[in-house]
Order: sequence, then C-alpha cells, then structure tokens
Amino acid sequence: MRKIHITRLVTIVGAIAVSTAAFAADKKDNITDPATLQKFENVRVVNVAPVASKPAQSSDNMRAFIDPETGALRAPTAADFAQAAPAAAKSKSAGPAARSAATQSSESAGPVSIQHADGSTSVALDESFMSYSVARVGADGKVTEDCVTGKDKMEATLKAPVAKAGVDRHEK
Amino acid sequence: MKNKNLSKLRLAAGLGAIAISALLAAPAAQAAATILIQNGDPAGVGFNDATVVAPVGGNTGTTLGQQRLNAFQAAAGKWGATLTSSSTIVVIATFEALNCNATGAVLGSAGALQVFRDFPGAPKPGTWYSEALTNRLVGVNVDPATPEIRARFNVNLGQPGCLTGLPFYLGLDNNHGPLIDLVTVLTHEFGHGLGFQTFTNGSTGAFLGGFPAVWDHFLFDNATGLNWTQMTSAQRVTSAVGVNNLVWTGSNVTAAVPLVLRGLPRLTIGGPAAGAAAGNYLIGSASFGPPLNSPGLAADVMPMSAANADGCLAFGAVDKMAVTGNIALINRGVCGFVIKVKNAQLAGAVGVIIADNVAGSPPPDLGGSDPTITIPSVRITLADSTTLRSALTKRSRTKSGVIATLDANTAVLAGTDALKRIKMFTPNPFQGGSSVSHYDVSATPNQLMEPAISADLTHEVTVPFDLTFELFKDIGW
Repeated sequence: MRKIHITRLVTIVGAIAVSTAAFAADKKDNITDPATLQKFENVRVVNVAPVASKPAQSSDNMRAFIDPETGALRAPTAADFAQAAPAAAKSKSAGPAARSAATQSSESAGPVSIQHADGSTSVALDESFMSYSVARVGADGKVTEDCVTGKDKMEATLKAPVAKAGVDRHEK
Repeated sequence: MKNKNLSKLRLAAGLGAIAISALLAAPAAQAAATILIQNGDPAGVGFNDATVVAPVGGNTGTTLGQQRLNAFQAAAGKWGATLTSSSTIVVIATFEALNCNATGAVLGSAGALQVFRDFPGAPKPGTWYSEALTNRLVGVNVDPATPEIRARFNVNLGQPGCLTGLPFYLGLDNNHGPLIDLVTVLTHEFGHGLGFQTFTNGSTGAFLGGFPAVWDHFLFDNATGLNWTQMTSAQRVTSAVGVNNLVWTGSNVTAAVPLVLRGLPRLTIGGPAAGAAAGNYLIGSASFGPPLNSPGLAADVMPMSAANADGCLAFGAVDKMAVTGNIALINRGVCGFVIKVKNAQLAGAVGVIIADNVAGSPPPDLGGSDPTITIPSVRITLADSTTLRSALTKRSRTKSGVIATLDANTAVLAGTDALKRIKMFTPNPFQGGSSVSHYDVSATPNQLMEPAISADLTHEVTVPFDLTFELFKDIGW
C-alpha cells in the first residue's frame, strides 16, 4: 500500500458543480419527497445530488496536479487520481453523493493510506472490499443468493453454474 | 509528513460534530443510532421512479421509488434500533443498472468506504475499524464529509434479461414467496458495511497495509492453535481454506450460541424389538414442520401398508390404526414430502421417517413448505431403511417394539466446534469475499450473515434469532 505525502493538490471540481446544478433542476419533478415516505424509528432520508456513474473519468481531465518536490504543475499519476478522489470528497462545494462517488473512483489505483493529525490513519476502500449479493437460477429453477466480496469475484460468481443444492422444494 | 490540510479539516469538522452531538445526544441507556439514507438517484430513476404501484406487505408506498426507499428504511431502521452510536451513520444509496442476465443478477452491493486505525481511544492498537465503528468508538464523526456506507442496488431486477420475472419483493413483512426479499438482502449487506468483515486478503493472507482488522483478533484456528493475528500470511491462507477449523472467539457470540443455535438433529432407534437395527442414523432434516429439539419425542415406528406405502393417499383404516400415536415409516416417491407428512399427521401420527428410494448417503434434507404441518419428519437412506424394516417384520397392528427417538443432540450445536464456538465460513477452495467474513453454512437455524442468503431468514439480527449483533458487540459496537 502506498502512502501519499502531497503538500499541495489543487482539484477543480467542475464536474461536481455540474452535478449540483443538475440536482437543483431535478428537485422540481420526479424526485421522491422524503416527507411522503413511511416513518421509521432511527432512520432519515434526504435527497442529494445524483451520483455520477463514472465520476473518475468525467473529472480526471479537469484537475491540476502539483509536484510535491518542485511545486510545478505536472501530469497526474495513478496515485494522484486515487488521492484526489477523497480530497475532492472533502470539498465544501461537493454534495455528499458526489463526494462518495469520488471516493469510489480510487478503485483502479488500490488502497491509499492517509495519516491524520490525531495520529490515526485511514484508508479509502476500493471496490475490492465491496460486498455483492448475487442471485442465480439453477437448472432446476431454484434461486440461490450468494454474498461475495469484490467486483472480480462478483463477475466470476455471476458466470459460474449453480452448484446442485441439497434441498429441492419440489422433489418427490 | 502528514497531509496538514486534511488534518485541519478533520479537526474542525470533528469539533463541530462534537457540538452537534452534544445537542442531539439521546439518553445513554437506550440503544439507538440514527441512520441517514442519502438518495443519490437522478430524477425519475430508482428511488425516484414515479411508477404507480399498489402497497404490498406493509409497505405503504404508492410509487416504486417510495417503496424502494421504505424498504431501505426498514433495513436501516433495524440496525438503527440495535446499534448505539452518537454519530449518524450515513448511507449513500442508488439504484443502478448492475450486472445481470436472464438467469443471474447482482442484486446489489454495499460496503464501508473507509477504515481507520490508531484513532484516539481505539480499543486495539494497530488495528483497522470500519468508519461507522470508528465514529461510534471516538464519539464523533471523524470524517463528516464522507458517508460511512455505499449501497448500490439493481434497478433492472426482474425485467426481461435481468433475472427475468424475479423482481425484489418490496414488502416489509418477509412474505416474499419466490421473490427476492429486498429487506433481507439490505440487512445483510448493511451488516458488512457496518463492519461484519475482515479487511485482510484471504487469498494472499496479507493484512491491509500491514495491519489486521479488528475481525482478525477473534479468528482462531483449531488446527494450528493460532489466532489470525499470530499467523504468517501463508498460515492465514491455509487457515482460510481449512474447512471447519476456523472459529470465532468473541465472548458475546460464544455466550449467545446456546441461545440461538440448535443441537444437531438426531434419530436414534432402540426398543425391545430393535435388535440389529438399534443405533443412531444419518438423517436429512425437513424444511417444514417443527425442528427437532431436546428432549424430543419417542414412539413406535410403524410401516405403511403396501396399498399406500408412499403415503400419498389419505390413510385408510389399517394405516390410521398403525400410525396413531406412532412414527410412520413412509417410502419416498410419487408425491411431495409435505403431502406424505400431512397425510400422516391427519391420520394421527406424531412423526414421520421418510425412507429414501435411491441409494446414496448422507440422506438429503426434505424440501417443501406447509405451515400447517406440526409434526417432525426426517429422511433416512435406502440402506438404513432396509435395516429398519428388518426389525419391523414382527409387530402388532398398533405397536412394533422398535422405538424411534427424534431429538436434537445439544452436546453438539449445529455450526460450532467442540467448545461451542461458532465456525466461520472457510471452504476449500477459497471463495473470495465469502470466506472468513461470514458464519459457516452449517449453523442452524440459518443466520443472516452466512454467505448464502436463505429464504427462511427472519428480519431479526439479535438473540434468540440471530448472532449478528453479538458479533458486533465483540468488535466494539
């Protein structure tokens, strides 16, 4: 795992601004009003700016990166993209949804640790730590639901044949 | 060198959160946490789908979007009522087009977005905790800018080409029938996001950044006598595929195991006429009727007449006389198991033994569903049924002198080791993600956090139904 020690990192959040503007427009129609929902104890619902499906690609070319050694502008590296995502997430101008999406964009670069002033260390987790529920219908018509972690495993599970189950509800 | 800007931001945000938390703090005695669901869908999609639908199973939403959000609230509310945290747990959620085909689909995904270690007051040094748990332990939100959990679910499920015809059941009453119960799936996946997982790579055995997850402190391998934090990476790789050897040592789970898990179902044959047929039999359990419990029941075994050996017809006078107050021995075949057992029940039997009609061992479980069945039933192998029948040749019309005892062996709880510690899922070969971060599938009754999400799960996460919350208490919740 890499540790990033970037003293200055300038992120232009144009994509996030666009997203926020879109949210403002969406509020006029076809957005579920939380006030119309059932009430549950210990839960609240809020609407946030729509999460872009591929935020990393949409905003990568709008960022400027500064070499920590020389202070000069330079081309971004994979490590920069990974670090820029959580940095963008902390921008006050970004909505929570956009920030979350940005955090997710670090998938391709792997985990990055960040050291904090209080002595703690954090790591933004990538897709390899996400848990997926996968449902498949076997040849016997039965549905199996499996929980796997990581995008690669999810894709492999989806393609794999369903193992013969021990219980057949319709067996005679 | 540290990222000073981020640290300052975190400090400022943390102080703000302290002030807010102090104002909003609930009485400490009652367990509760607030979960905030952020609807991140665009207009008209997913949570905002305005398609008009009829209320279903206690879900009063009248649009598809409302019902989806209500299901999310139901699952989140379960955790909110169970866990305790002064920091709001934020879930950023969307319905999206996820991978699928006509016979398979990703239902959804969820997980923690960050982990932290060595924060002030961390119970174990050099150990990763999920962000939601970190916030709970610190007492403030250590990173208010980032949600704790990301959740994506499949917006196309049930549509043609995407697990065709099997949409999410959006009711809140668990009456899902053949459909996919969204509340159950959400409750399971939120569990992972809250910290029910290791962050150690089971394929390589490598700790994340060289540090174990809090999870790893409670994994003990009976084969090596080592805890996961004591092992080398190579030893962890071996442990992750060491079927039946890895157990959870947390005190809360272990104390609750006898309250949740059942003894192994057991059939014992004895009695004055049992002869060579006496002994313990391998059995398959039924998915219907009452589970076998201790002390169980004991009664004479009585075979069916040749005219209704498979038990598919309503019992005649001879068979009624034979099985009343006894355990009926019925052949497999012709009709479903629930029909046979229901017929026996109506005739007065107190239990049923189904004799397999094809060779094979161990005997599979008995499938089917009929909530009106109130007597226990089991399946035995064809070979064992031959042995049993040999002891039944001399009998009266109402008694055989061959006594079957159907009970549960409480000395061995299903899904535990000899010390009644619950086993963790460690199949061979290693199943990425499923392995280690779930309870083993041998646990009975089925647990929410097994890798296979079973149709018979309740929505409960606490004792006496489920051991998930007990594990959360072990790791610091």
